[in-house]
Parts: sequence; C-alpha cells; structure tokens
Amino acid sequence: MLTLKNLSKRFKSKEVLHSINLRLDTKVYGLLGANGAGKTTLMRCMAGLYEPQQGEILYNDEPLHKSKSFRQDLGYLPQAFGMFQELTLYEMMDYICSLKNIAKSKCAFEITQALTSVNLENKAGDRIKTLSGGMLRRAGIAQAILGGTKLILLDEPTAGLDPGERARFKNAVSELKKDRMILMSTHIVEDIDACCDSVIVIDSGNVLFYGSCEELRNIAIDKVYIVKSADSDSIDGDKFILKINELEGEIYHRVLARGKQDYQSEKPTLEDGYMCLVKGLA
Amino acid sequence: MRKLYKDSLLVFLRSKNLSIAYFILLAISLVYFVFCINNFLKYNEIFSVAIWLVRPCILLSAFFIYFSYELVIKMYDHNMVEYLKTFQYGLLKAYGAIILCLLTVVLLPAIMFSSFMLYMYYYSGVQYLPFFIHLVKLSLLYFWLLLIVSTLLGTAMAAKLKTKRLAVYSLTVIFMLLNTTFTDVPFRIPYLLFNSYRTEKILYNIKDFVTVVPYELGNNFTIDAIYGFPMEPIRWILAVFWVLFPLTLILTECFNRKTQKALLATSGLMVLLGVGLFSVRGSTLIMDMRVNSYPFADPFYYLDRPREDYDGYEAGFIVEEYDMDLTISNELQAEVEVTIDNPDLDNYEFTLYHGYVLTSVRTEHGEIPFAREGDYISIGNLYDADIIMFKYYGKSPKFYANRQAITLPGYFAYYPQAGRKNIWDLDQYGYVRNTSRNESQYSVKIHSGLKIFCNLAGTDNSFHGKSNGVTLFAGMYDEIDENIYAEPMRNDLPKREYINEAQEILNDIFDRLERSRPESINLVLDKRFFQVPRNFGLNSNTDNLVIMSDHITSISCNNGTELAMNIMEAIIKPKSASDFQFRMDYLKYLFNRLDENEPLFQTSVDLNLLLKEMGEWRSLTGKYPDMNGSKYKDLSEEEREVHITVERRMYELHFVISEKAAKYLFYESPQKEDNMRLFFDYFTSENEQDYLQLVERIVKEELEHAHIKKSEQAL
Repeated sequence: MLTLKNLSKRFKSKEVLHSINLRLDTKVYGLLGANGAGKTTLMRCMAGLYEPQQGEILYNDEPLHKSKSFRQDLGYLPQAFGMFQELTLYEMMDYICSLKNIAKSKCAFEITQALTSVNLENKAGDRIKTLSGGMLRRAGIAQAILGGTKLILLDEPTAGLDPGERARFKNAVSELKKDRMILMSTHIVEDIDACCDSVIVIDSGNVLFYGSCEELRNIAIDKVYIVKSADSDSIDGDKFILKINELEGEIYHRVLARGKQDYQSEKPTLEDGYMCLVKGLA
Repeated sequence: MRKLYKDSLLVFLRSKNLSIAYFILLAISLVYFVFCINNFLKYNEIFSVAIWLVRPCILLSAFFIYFSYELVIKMYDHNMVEYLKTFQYGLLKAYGAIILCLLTVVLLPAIMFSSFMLYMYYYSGVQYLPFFIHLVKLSLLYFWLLLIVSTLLGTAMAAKLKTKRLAVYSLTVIFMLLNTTFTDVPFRIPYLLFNSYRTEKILYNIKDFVTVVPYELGNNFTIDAIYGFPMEPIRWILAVFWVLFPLTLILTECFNRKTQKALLATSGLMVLLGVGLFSVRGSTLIMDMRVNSYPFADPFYYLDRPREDYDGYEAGFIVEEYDMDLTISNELQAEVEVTIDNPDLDNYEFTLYHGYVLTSVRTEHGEIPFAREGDYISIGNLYDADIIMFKYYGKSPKFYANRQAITLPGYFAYYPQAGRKNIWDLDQYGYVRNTSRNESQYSVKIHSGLKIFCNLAGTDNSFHGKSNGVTLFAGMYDEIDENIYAEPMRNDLPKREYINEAQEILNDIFDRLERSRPESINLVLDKRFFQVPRNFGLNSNTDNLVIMSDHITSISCNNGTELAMNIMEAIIKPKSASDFQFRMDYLKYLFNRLDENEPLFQTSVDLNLLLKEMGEWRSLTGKYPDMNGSKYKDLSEEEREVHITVERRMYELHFVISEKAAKYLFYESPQKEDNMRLFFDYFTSENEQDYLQLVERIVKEELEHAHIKKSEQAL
C-alpha cells in the first residue's frame, strides 16, 4: 500500500532520516522512537508534507505526487492539532468534509459515523472550545477518518491524554483498523502493545526494527531480570536498569542484560524488547 | 466552497474580538457618514465633504488588516494548517474561503461609501458625466480596492509572519504612518538639517510606493476641481500591485515547493515590474511638504538661485510661428518647431521651464549643440536656418500635464519662449506672467485621451491661431457658457453677466480716471475666459488673474466687481515686494469696496504721525540692508533679538503706513481723485521710484497747502 524506498530527509546540514525502506499494508503499525528520533519527520514525509531529498514514497506503487487517490485516502492527525474554536464539532466536521470534497449528500452520514467511531456523537453540537484535550484528539481522529480514508497517520495521538482518554482512544483505533493502514507514532510502548499489529522502531533517523510486536518482545528473551538492588551490580556485561520497584520493603531492579546471567530470566514485554534495541542489548 | 465560506463567516461573526470591533467600526462609520451628510447639506461642497470622507480611510484600512490577520491566524493558532495541507488544495481552499469572507465584510462599508458618493452627486445638482465617473472611480480605487488591499495585506502577513504579532502590528503601524502626513516630520529632516535632497527623495519614493489612500490623514491642502482626487495610472497600477503581490505571497503558502518557487519568482518579478512602472510614473499630483511638491517645488527652487533681472531684456528675435506636437500621457512630451524672424544672430536664448528635459535641438541642417542652464537654453549660430526644432519631455509640479488633467497656462514657459525671462519672482512670491508683446502664429496638435480646451480655435485637440501664448486645460473642465471655461463642479462659476458687469465697471473706472483703457483689457468681452484651479494661488500671489491677448485666466469670478478688481490688479504693476498691501488698498478705494465700520474710519489720519512712521520705517530698513541667511547666522544672540524686534516693528509699520496712506490719499484728501490718477499712472508706468517716496511727497505738499490755506484764512 505504502512503500518507502531509500528515503532520506535533511534539514539544512542535519540529516534527520537516513535511507529508510519500509513497506506498509492494511495493518495497524506503531512507530516507536525516542524524542527527536525522526518520527514526526517520517510521518510528515508519508503525509506528503515534506519532500524528501532522496528516495521516494509510493502509494499503491505510484509516487505520492502522481497518485490521484492518495490525498483522498489519507487521514492525518498531526502532533499539534486544533480546530476553529468558534465552530461546533459538527460544523467543523462539515467544514472538513468540504475540504475533502465529500459529496454534500454523504456528509451527514460520514460525520455521524466518524463521530460515533470515536465516541463523540453526543458532542456534535458542542463548540470546539468546550471540548477537553482528549475529546479534541478523538475529534482529530474523526477528521482523519472522514470520507472512508484508507491510510491513517496519527502522530503521537495519545500525548497529554489521561489514562481514561487513552483507553477510549485505543478502543477507537481498534474500531477503525479494519481494511485500513494505520500508522501511529508514539514513544509510549503500552499504546503500541494495546492496538498495533506491527512495530517500527526508529532511532536517530534509522529503522532499527520492523516486525510484529511478538518479534520485538522476543528480542528481550533471556535478557530481562528482576534482581534486588544490592545484586544489581553482580549482573555481568552490558546492562540497563529499566525500572526500580519496591516490593515488601525491598527494592528490586528490572535489568536488561546482554548475556546469560545467574538469575531466573523474566518474560519480556514490548518495552523490554524496545529498550534492548535502543540500548544496544539486542 | 460555499460551505467553507459560510463557516469562515461564522468564525468571524462568533469571534468577539473581530465581530464586536467590526460592528463598532460600522456604527462609528455610520455616525461619521451622517456627520458628512450634514456637512454636505450645509455647504454643498462635494470635494470638501469627499475629503472628509476619505481622510480617515487609512484607519479603516488598519482595522481591516487587523480583521484579516486575526481571522487567518486562527488557523495557525489552532494548529490547523498542517492537516489542512494534507487535503487536496486544502489550505488553498481554506484561504480562499477566508478571503471571500473578508471581502463580504468589506462590502458593507464599501457600499455605504459608494452610495454616499452617488447621493452627493445626485443632490449636488451638477449633472456632469466626467465628475460622476470620477466619483465612481474614487469609490472603486480608494474604498473598494483599498479595503481589498488591506484584507490581503493582513492575510499575507498572517501567511508569512504567522503568529509574530509584534512584527505584524509594527508593519501595520509603519504602513499607516507612511499613509499619513505624520511622516513629513522625519522625512523632511535629511533636507532641512543636512540639505540632502536625494535622501528626502528616496524616503518619499518609498512613501509614495506604499501610499494607498487618496488624501492622507493630516493633509490640509485642498483639491483642485479640475483634477479631483489623484487617480493617475500609477495609482491604479500600485493598487493592483498591492492586490497581486500579497496574493502571490499567500499562494506560496498553499502549494508545494516547486510551485512555491515559481510563485516567489512571480512575486519578485511583480516587485520589479511595480518599481519599474513606479519609476516612470511621470507627472503626479504631490500635495505635501516635500521639496518637489506642488506648493513648494518652485518657491524652493528659485529661493536657492540668485535672481537675475531680465526686465527690459531684448532677445534680438521674435518667434513668428510655433508648430507644436505635444503628447500628454504620464507627462508632457513635446516636439516644438519655432520659426524665428532673425536667423543672423550669433546666439539665441530661449526660456523653457527647468522641469522639462531637453533632448535635442535641431535645424534643417541637423542637430545643433545647446547649453542648458536652469530655465534657459542657449544656442549658437543657426547658419541661416530660421526654424529650430526642440524635443523635450518632463513635468512641472504645479502646472501638471498627465492623463488625469492638464493645466498649462500660456504665461508659463512649457514651450520655448524667445529670450531670457524670469519664471518666478521672489519679491512678489509668484510666477512671472510672461505675456509676450508679440503675437505668434500657433499650430498645436495634442495627443491625449483628454478633451483639451485651448484659447485658440480648433477641434479634436488640434488648434490654430494667433496669440501671445497658448493655454491648455483639460480634466474635469468644460465650456460652461460661450467662451467661458471652468470646472463645472465649482460653486463660484464665472458667468457671462459677471464679465459684462466687469467690463462696465472698468469702463466707468477709466472714465473716472480720465485715462484710456490699456490695449490688453480692450474687449474683455471678446476674450475667452478660463477659470483656473483655486490652488494656483496656493504658492503664488500673481496667478490671480492674467490677461493674454486673446484670453483671460482667473482663479475666481464671484461677481463683476471682483472680476473688474482682479483685472485692474493685473494691469497695475507691482514696483517692489513691499507695495502689495498698498496696491490692494488702492484697488479697494478705487472700486469703493470700503467698510466704513472699520476702526480705521472712526478717526482721520494724522499726517504728521504718518510722516513720522514713514521716517521710522525708512531708518529701520537701512539697518539691515543686505540681511540673508548666512549673515543672520553670524549674528550673536543679542543681535538676533534686536534684529527680530526690528523685523516685527517693520512688519507692523508696513501695514499701518499702507493703510493710513491709502486712506488719506484716496479717501480723505481733497485731491483724492487726482491722487487716484497719479497712482494709476505710477503703477502702469516704468517708474521704479518707491511708492513711499511718492506718498511722502504728496502728503508733504498737501500739508504745506493746508498750512498756507490756514495762514491765508488767519490773515
């Protein structure tokens, strides 16, 4: 569906993306990376907002700028998202319907469907300025899926949301994933775990990993240990303390280590796999 | 698109900072319109009211910059642009809808303005189509286009400067200041302090380039009815530029990089084209404080040059024939052939106003060298050729000739005139009325889109005939009665009955003076009468009324007496800079235009005191005989104070002496009729004697007579 061939993007002398090659199909993808890893730049390139210096992006085997259906199929939720505060949610959706060239007769149906998908159907008559941050993010998803878009790019959609809103957001994504390619960038691993089929990990503009969640998790097999803090130093080789927990008055470290240790290894999570990758413990 | 437009309008109306400000602005505009209507009904002066109406235009423009910027910036404030760009032409459509919404917002005040203009036209009673068209163009250029420009500027600033409000509003303030006369203060500093005319010119060029209003806030000059509001082609070009330039900047935001580059290149080309056209704008009406403006250009120019006395100067030849081919577009372009009566001189001098650039001088033998020095052209031997061809182009800040109007009076050297003549007289503070004693045969062909009125006979801008000067007028100008030409919108239109009355009054005056009428005013009735713009008197004391061999030009003609007085004023020659007041008083008594309720008429003139005051005046004038700027600078503080006191006293004495002398000589004196005649002869002669000497002599003689009479009675 969407193919990135040898994609490089540079801002003045700083190269932000280095020769990225990806092929994305109708699945939910999580784009993981630390702050400044190049996630947003990659998303913007995919949305056709940035023109790469090198390489190309193909949509259904056609370059983006030549593809007739790309713009129509694309739904994009930027990292910073907003709407005219003076309009109601319904008016704003209607405004976007016009921008997306959705036939007037279909607008009402499309808007209702999109708002229902993100659980905002009862807020349609409310002014945008009265919506909470979470509702606004969901409204953002609603605008992205308006008109039956097939390619949805969500740039850090859960940033700044409270746990309740995040749960509702994940549910909304699960509702939408049928027959759609959804790419969701985030640095929150749990969000990926909850709703993504595949994961792309990028670091400093390079793709470190592209595979299923299971594969990413498997990277950390036999590398995760929970040890008492006092025993932490006895771990051999390269290691990384991922978490520090207190259990019954005792401090425990969740340690990622490269080699086989004398301790019982733990079942890895997606976050363990991701951290092993970015910390060079894979 | 309709939906986008409707939603943009909703955003505007629901934004309190925009809608409340807009409706308050509309309410204030409405109140202001009512004020203007009231003024119109009171005075029926369309131009004055129109000036009032357009004066605050720039404030309105600033508000529309605010409205457009604040509406567009909402897209940026609410981070909408990034996702709008992902839709097919999404940002372009959003901008388009907002611009349409802003144009709708512009509609109300623009319709109000245009309706008021039409109302004024229909209720003024002036049924003159060019004036109607002028008012329509005024509405279009200075209201519709101005507000459109403002909205596009605001939109473009939002597109380019995004949320940098400080920069946007600073630019708005600069834009506003450049469209007001408040910039006159800083812009005049380079010239006033450092005598840098070039810097002033550059600054004012920048100002002119961004000037989008017709009549700047703070401007106190009046508008010539013949010209109307300045709407030269360059004003339209600049208005279109200020529409298209911001539009291309806005479009650069809406397209991808390749198109962006093309649009930026287009913007750059547009700037080049705009500046290029601006630099060849030619003659425009400049009514402000700069050195080369209508009111100040010539007084300043001639102030810096030593005055040469060409009285009695003989050129040694006369021009028998003129064959003039004039093209009046942005400025005057002329090819003038002169046939002279004496081809044997070694040197020929001509006078041509310095604003006209002479490109070539030719005879039948080919191009000949010439020397140009200010207003004068010197040519050597003609080798028996008797026809000289001058080719030149240029403009005069005051006597303009462009696509909007033409005011070229025959006494002004806009074509080469034989000999050296002064164009400006500093003493009289006015243009010299260069009326040749000799008539020449003229053949004048003018290429212009305007219908031109001339003192010579002809049609279709082609004129022929004999005269001592060719006067050309065009613009909002018409033949309002047979051989009477004027701006039909003026309240003080000349009438045939006024001219008849003036002729009768003058006949009576000359009978009373027992003098024959000068040739120049013989048959006033038969001369063509051209009413000239009121502003002719703005920087000149001498343009009031000029009598040429076949026509008269006059600033105003309210009644026969005033016209007769003006004609007489044109006949009596000024002798010095200080006799102006006395001449005016002389005319007042001659035409019996007295107000006997004035304090002056409550007591009789004390002749001894008058003689004493004249003595004091004379002694004071001797104190600083050659005072000038550099000598004044050399004076100490104390000496300057003394000088100022002397000047003040002289100023007082000047009026007191003129008033008293005139009252005694022409009102109280038993010889008043003789005195009238005596001074008429004096003013129409070549006698260079100071009028005060004459006054003193008569007063002393009369005192002596009175004394002898008294003695005889006592005996």
